[in-house]
Amino acid sequence: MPKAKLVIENLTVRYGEFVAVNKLSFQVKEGEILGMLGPNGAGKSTTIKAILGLVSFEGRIEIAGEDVSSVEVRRKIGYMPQSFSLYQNLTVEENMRFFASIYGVEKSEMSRRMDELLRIAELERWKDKLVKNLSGGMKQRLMLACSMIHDPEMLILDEPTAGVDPPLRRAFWEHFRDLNKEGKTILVTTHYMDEAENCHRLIVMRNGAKMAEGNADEIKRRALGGELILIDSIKKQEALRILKSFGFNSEVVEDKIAVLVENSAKTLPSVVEILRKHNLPVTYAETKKLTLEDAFLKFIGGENG
Amino acid sequence: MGNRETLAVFVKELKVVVREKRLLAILIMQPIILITVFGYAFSGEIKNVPAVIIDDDSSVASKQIISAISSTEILDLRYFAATTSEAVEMIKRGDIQVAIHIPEGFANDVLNKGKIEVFVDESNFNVAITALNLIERISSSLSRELNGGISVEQRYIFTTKTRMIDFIAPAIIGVVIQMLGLILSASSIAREREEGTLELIMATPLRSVDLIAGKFLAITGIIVVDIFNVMLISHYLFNVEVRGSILLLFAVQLLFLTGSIGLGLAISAVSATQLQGIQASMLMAIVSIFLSGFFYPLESMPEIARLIAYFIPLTYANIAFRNIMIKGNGLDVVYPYVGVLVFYTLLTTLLATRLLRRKISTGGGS
Ligand SMILES: Nc1ncnc2c1ncn2[C@@H]1O[C@H](COP(=O)(O)OP(=O)(O)O)[C@@H](O)[C@H]1O
Ligand SMILES: [Mg+2]
Repeated sequence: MPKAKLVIENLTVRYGEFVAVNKLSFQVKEGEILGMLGPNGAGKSTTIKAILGLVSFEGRIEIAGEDVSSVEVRRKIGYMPQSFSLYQNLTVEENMRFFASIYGVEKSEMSRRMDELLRIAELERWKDKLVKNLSGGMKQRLMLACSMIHDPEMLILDEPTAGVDPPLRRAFWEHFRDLNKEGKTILVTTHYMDEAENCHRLIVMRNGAKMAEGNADEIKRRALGGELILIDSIKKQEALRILKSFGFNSEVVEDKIAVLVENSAKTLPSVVEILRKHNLPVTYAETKKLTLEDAFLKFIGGENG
Repeated sequence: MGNRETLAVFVKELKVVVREKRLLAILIMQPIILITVFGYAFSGEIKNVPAVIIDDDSSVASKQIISAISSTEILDLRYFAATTSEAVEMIKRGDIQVAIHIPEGFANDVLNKGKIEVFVDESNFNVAITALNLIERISSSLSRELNGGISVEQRYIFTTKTRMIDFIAPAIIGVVIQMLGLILSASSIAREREEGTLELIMATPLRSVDLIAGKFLAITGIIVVDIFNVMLISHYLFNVEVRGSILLLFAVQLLFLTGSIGLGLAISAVSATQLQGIQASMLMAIVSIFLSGFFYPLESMPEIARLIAYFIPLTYANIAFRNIMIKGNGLDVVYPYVGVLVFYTLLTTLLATRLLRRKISTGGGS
């Protein structure tokens, strides 16, 4: 069992009267990519700000066993905020140098580190350009580079791919996976479901609270309370009656019979076998894949309020 | 305190300001324009300087000199005095600035070594030099005409009179320090907040003391350039002199600057936008200018205004600067004012550190 890199316990953040994060608890394990999913205003950014000490909060937050009230803890984190925030009137290189200096990166280490990041971010040619003259994608790459200038153990990325075109999004995620393979723990928030599938585990948030937690499959299963099998047989009503008598939670949905089971792949053969024994040959069978989006919508939809 | 971190903030801050061309233009030009406008308005072109003649000779030669002088526009021969001591009194009273004495027997002596005595008001050095030059010029052309030799003897009269510009120049330095110190510091934090960089650097291990120290140093560096500009222009263009210790003057200026930057940072910590910060600072600066005895000595202000003036730090800065520059006083005289400024500086810097730290730790981000 890997150690927890980040522990959040009973986190509550208020903006005046308004409770933006409500008694939130979760952990990010060493070496994992944890995705935070949730609609706008769910409290994702606020949670991240609490981790970085940018808002006052109630509860406990620890990074690698150390309370975040200690400023030194921040050396372990690379932070990429949701909106662009670098010095527009400094060049690419000057921005990197500034952040390297305030993170206390050794002089001897600095140029090597900057060269490497410039290369990875493909910004070598632009290193003497003022940031305000860069394109959106370049700015985003520079933000990521700046957040990694001090070689942090953990990256906290707040919607790193918001407003980024699809090829660059893919490149970003490839890079995140590479970083993760090199041992970096990553906490990332996103809007995009296809990106969420890249995360080892997910947290679904809504109204400042955690609605679900687990890997993508677990989240989907939990959204329905199980998985779905869709089957069809020559005598639909008869088949339904028999399945119900065996205790299966099933009903006719459109022109198929939908069976809600704990694990669809495991259960499908026995369902087919039962019907075959009752002389009801199965003409159609499918384990229905719920998309993460379906699950997500279910969690953030009204009834869980 | 981390020197490296402070240095990084300092360098960054300077670059950002220098690259913001419009801000830079205001920063550099505003003090220069202020001192130049006030300088020309209140020191004036040297023209029609009130003067007096003591003609003890009443000869053709002395008449020639007098008519040569009155044909210029520089001196205005308003009076004739009977004795030199009477003329010196007039200078001391401030009725006139120059007195020209043509001694008895001048016409006879002029062929070998005639002499003219010129009394000038030393406090107005510019005028004194111009008047002396004029009389030298007239004498030497007359000497050539008469194939003789006239010597001009200079006598300086010390008065305690000050010109308007001598009185205003120290206050201009005070105003520049306060106004630009406030604007620069208020906009510097607010700019970071608007661009989101404040949040980003607060997520780093950079301590707020290092951030504030770096900003202090950068703003100080820029405004010291302004102080030098104003001092150089007022000295070389308008003959404003520093009679006391330059070092003491500079130290008090730095002290007041530190206090102003502290106040600016405090204002920017509580204002939502850059514009708001600048507006609040401008209001502060303008109120200060009018009520701190910029144009008139405190003693000649109405009582209510004077009462308010005692609560304005610029008042104390102005008094201290004037004492050092005009009267040549040292710390033994100005210490009460310096004391008030030390208190102001401690208060504002403490307030700034407190407010900024709180602002930062309670977010207030978007
Ligand atoms: N500085 C603030 N003051 C007041 N309310 C805020 C502030 N920042 C965020 N909020 C509110 O807190 C809630 C959570 O915001 P946020 O954490 O940014 O959500 P997310 O990142 O999930 O979109 C939102 O309702 C938002 O309006
Ligand atoms: Mg957000």
